[in-house]
Order: sequence, then C-alpha cells, then structure tokens
Amino acid sequence: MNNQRVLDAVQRRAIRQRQLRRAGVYALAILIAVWILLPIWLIGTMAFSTRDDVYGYPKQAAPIPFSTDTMQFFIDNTMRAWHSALWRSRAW
Amino acid sequence: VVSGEGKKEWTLDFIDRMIHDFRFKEALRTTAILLVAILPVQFVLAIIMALVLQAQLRGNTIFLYIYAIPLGISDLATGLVWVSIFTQRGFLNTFLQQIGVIDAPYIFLSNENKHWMIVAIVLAEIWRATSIVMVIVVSGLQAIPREYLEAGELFGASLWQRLRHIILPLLKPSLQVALILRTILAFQVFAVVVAITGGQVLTVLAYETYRWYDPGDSGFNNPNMAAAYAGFIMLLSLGFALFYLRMVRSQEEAARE
Repeated sequence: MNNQRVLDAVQRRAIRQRQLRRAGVYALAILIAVWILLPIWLIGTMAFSTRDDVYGYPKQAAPIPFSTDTMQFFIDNTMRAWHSALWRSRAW
Repeated sequence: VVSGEGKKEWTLDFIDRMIHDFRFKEALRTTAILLVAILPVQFVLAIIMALVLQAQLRGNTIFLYIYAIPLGISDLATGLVWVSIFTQRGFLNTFLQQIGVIDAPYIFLSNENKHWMIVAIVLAEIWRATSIVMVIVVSGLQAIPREYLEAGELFGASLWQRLRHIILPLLKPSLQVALILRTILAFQVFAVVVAITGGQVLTVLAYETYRWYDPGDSGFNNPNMAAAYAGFIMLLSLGFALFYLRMVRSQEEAARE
C-alpha cells in the first residue's frame, strides 16, 4: 500500500515534468512563430495605414484607422507596369 | 585610364585592379563578418525549429507553414521590412521609446553606426534565410529512424545527449548540404544590404560586382571589373564547398579506420 503511494507520487511527478516540458516546447514554437510573423505584421500595418501615419512617428502597432489609400495608389500606379513585368517574368 | 582596353590579349590587369581597389578589402571584410555572424545563429535556430516541428505538437502543420513563410519573400522586400523597423521613425524606436529605454528616436542606420547596420543586416538575413536551412534539417531529421531515438530515450539519454550523440551525427549529410548552400548564398548577399545601407556606407562583394557593372549614374559601367568580382565570388564559393566536402569525407575515412 505504501509502495503504491510512492509509485503514484513518482508517476505524478514524471507526468507533471512531461507536461511542463511540453508547455515549454509550445512556448518556444509560438515564440519562433511570433519572430517570423511580427515583421510581416508591421509591414502590413504600414501598407494599410493612412498616408500621414506611414510617415508619422511614433509608429502604431496596428493599422488604425484602416486605410486602403496606399494600396490603391500602389495598384493604380503599378497595374500597367505590373502587368508587363509579370509577362516578362514568364518562364516560357 | 582603363587598362587592358582595346587589346585582344589575356590580362590580369582587372584582377590586379580589383585587389587594389579601395573598396575591395572593405567588401571582403563585411562579407566575412556577415558570414561568421549569420551562419552559426542560423544553424542553431534552424535545428531548434526543426526539433520543435519534430515534437509533434498540436497545430504542427500551422507552425511548419508559418516557419516556411520567409522562403517566399524576396530579399529586397525583406531588407525593406527591416529598414522600416530600424529607421529613425521606425518601429524599434517607437517600441524603445514606449518602454522608456530612450527619450528620443535613436538613429540606428547612419554612417557613424556601422555596427548597427551590420546588426540589421544579420537580423534580416537570419529572418529571411533560416527557413531554407530548416527545410533541409527537417527532411534530414525525418530520415533518422525512430528506433534510434527511442533506444536513446529508453536508456535515459537526456535531450542534449540524444542531440549530441544521435541526432547531430546522423544529420551531418543534411547539415553539409545546408552549409554549402548557405555559404554560397552568403557570398551573394546583395539586396538586403542595398535596402539597409544604400550600398554607400557598407559594401559587400556582390554589391561591388553590381557597382562596377551598373551602366547608370551610380555605377562605373565596367563589365571587366564586374567579371573580376564575379569570378572572385565564384572562386570563394568553390573553395568553401570543396573544403566542406573534404572535411566531412576525411571524418568518414577516419571513422572507417
């Protein structure tokens, strides 16, 4: 009976250790994902901010107010060049 | 006076001129610094990423997709992303000011702050090009029979011991491929440097090649010199590739004896 209790304690500790390690791996995985995604988020913020916010300081961490002006400008002005560049980049 | 021009004969003039060009040494040094600073971090990070993916977490596929995103991003775009972070009115200054580390925006990317430019280039390159190493390491890890790792675990080997004595030795061929690939790519680093430094403050070998070739206002329009640089980069890449191949082979021979 006593042995059983000791065994349970050992088992519980092993399981807890395993869970802790698992949590650590999850934290690491998420940390790396943030490292990859953060710069993309920031450049996305720049792309969808208003003109003033793009040049402004301090920078904001999210595109509020949301604006498609920059994107619209980009698409309007590059559509023709974009089209021919895509055509020239074809692989045949 | 452009030497060797008009004469149709062999000449080493351009090689000579390249070696004595005042930017040559600096370009070589910066390229070497980047190589030494980037590669070790990149390999450690790539192995960690691959091991995390190997741990069969829930949402494993999502993590794999996220980690692979930089593979599809152009190097110039990466450079611009990191410029937006490091520039005077950028995200890093915003963040540092918000947490109270600095009172006014610090100018990271300036002529006097070459080391910060190096840091920015290193971070951008690590961010961009670790994925390709990770993909190679992941495929190498998947080729390691599960029994080996299970046997190690059963005999009570710690994670470090398994890494040191089972995983890394069996990963050697994959690491070798990745090392050759990454070293060659490190000699070609170009667009990230252009985006962050404008090619004026800091220069690398690939940028010098372009500067000599460039027929525009900022270039020298000298294809011969550009060819000399390009040939030099090729020789360096070739030399390193041979060195890596020999290194692994001699280890294998030593193990066989």
